[in-house]
Amino acid sequence: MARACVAAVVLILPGAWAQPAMAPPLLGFVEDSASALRPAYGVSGNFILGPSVASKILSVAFSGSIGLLKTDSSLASFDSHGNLLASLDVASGPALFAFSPAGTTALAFIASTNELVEWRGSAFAALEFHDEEVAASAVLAIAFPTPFEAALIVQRKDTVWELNVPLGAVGISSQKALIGVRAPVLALPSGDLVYRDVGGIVVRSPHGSDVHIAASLPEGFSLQQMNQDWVQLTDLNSSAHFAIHTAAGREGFYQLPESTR
Amino acid sequence: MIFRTFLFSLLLPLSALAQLAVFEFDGTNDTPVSSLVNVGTAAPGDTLATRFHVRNIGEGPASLSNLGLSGDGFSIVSAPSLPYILSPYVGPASEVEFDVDFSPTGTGTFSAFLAVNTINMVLQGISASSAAVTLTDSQTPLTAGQVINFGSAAVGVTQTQGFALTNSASSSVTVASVVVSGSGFSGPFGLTMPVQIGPGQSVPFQVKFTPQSGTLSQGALTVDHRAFTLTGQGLDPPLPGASIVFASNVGASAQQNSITIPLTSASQVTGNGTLTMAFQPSVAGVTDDAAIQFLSGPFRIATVNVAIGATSATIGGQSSMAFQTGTTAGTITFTLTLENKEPQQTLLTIPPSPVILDTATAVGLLGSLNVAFAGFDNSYSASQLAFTFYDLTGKTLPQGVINADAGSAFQQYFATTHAGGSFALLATFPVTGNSAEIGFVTIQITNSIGATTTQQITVSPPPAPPIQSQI
Repeated sequence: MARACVAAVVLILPGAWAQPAMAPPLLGFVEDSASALRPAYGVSGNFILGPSVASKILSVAFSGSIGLLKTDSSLASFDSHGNLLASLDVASGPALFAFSPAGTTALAFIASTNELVEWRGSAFAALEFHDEEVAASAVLAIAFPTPFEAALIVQRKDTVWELNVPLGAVGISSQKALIGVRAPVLALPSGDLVYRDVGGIVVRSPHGSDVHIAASLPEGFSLQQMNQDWVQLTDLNSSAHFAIHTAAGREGFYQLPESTR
Repeated sequence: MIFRTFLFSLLLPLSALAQLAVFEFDGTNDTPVSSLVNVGTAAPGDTLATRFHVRNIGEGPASLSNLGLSGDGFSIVSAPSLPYILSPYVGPASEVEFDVDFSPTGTGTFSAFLAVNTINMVLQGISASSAAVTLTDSQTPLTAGQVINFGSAAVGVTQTQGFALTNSASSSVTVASVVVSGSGFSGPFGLTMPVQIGPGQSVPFQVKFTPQSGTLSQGALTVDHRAFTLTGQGLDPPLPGASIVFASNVGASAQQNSITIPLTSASQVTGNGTLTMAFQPSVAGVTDDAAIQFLSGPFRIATVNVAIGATSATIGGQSSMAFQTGTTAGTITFTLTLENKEPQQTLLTIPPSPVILDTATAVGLLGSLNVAFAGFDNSYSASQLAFTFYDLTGKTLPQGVINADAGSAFQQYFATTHAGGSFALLATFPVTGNSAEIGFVTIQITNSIGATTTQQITVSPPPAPPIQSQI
């Protein structure tokens, strides 16, 4: 039966080339040292920053199809061309972002007010979020593993924990210690965790296997998702920016060109 | 001995007597003279120079018409042509200088009468018997004020000049003091003061010059009352040799590499310069690749600094400078320019290569199948594409290899892009039947250098529509 279906497949070549879609490869969006949002083009080891598409941003993340950014007073979404899709007035300060595994919906955690906002593909929606136990300052990263649950990566004393929080309910549904994980940490839609270790960066898969990426890391840095397989690392003490390739088998650590020129 | 005394209005400032005023000039400052000018002490045979400036302190022009000197041992050695019209004084350029030498032939006190228009004064000098000062290997006595040039020496390197104190008189003389002063000059070495020198005897000593900087140094050798000028030119030692060293000597596109500039030895001086990069594509019709750049600081130029004691230069303030090699074949030229050194160049050749694919994905959709891939073609010559589709078991589909000539599409893209040789391509294949039965695809892309074939790429199902929490 399957063989019969396969035999029925027809690939029509002329249609493929009627309008060949060629463009510079988009590696994602980055926040530059002037707090501007810029697309990053190129391939591993060769990066070109495009023109600024937004300014005065505090936090940004891009899933590969949609992005979220936070300015001092608003939360906004943008598409893969850098076009603004929607915005919402929110409290000041930075935000943490997480995308669903498909990368089409997202969560934003506004640290200053300890609130969650969901991007539902076309609009923002504030979510009920009640957890008196979680101090906003302790939240290192968030994840959006299912449409009904958020995961908060928090620092408790010397250990990093993952707290699963049902959206719209009170309390924590489950929690687990992330042994060996050190801040700063970023949770990717794939379930991978990206964090630092002694010799560089670790990408820990949901199954617990670790891939080490050798890198000379700055003392203080932040991590932001710049695409499905790319994470931006920003040196908090200089204008240096780096890109971490997290794709399985293609892992690497690169320096991004300085943008303010 | 000749001794003469002149009595004039000793208590009156001479400038009050005329529109002109006379000053003694020490090389830096003017000091108003009184009616008695002591020019100092010189040994017989020495010459002691005294410089005078004449100013017009009135409000209108004044003529210097008379400059007279009478007296043994003194002579005017430099003076303007008379009459000399002086404008009212507005600064050093509006005054005129004349010089008087005191050259006693014997010991004793010498005086002379000096007249400047109606201003009269007495010059007085003392001549005392003393040892002659000579340079080693010279019999000619140095005269007071004479310049002894130590020549040039690198900073920290010592030049030694030998001197001798010689008593050519018939009785012993005592030199009470020999003093060396001035930055970089030291001594005297080989003398214990005071020095008694018998008739016809000589006592050698040395003065050393060790420059502390790459500038002209001036000092003095003072033997009792006689001063001799010491000069020496300090020379900055040259920067040590420097070279451009790559972290990797592999010339290839899409590489992040870095440069260090080691020195052949620890530098004794500071130095500055620049490191620049330039790119000459080897692809016809291509003029540049903007991705070829330093990754921090200015685009293709970095400052280079060498610190004292450093064994490597800093580049843009860092121990190394990262750069990327772009996606265009050609030659990257790095030029290191350090002050007082010939620029040196190091080339990094990026040879043309087959297309390198960075990512490739395939997604089965309803009625179509999208194959997307990204990479770079540093020869800008990609043309033939070949797609081979497989079923879920890995068996080639009956259509076999689907070829397409994408040469014109690539040329059109490369002609307009600013992304060098990098590209992303989306190929959409209309599908009849169930596209979910297509398991894998391989892509082959060919350029002028060769063909690149991917491994089998798994065809993914279409992304699920978003499920919203609806809370």
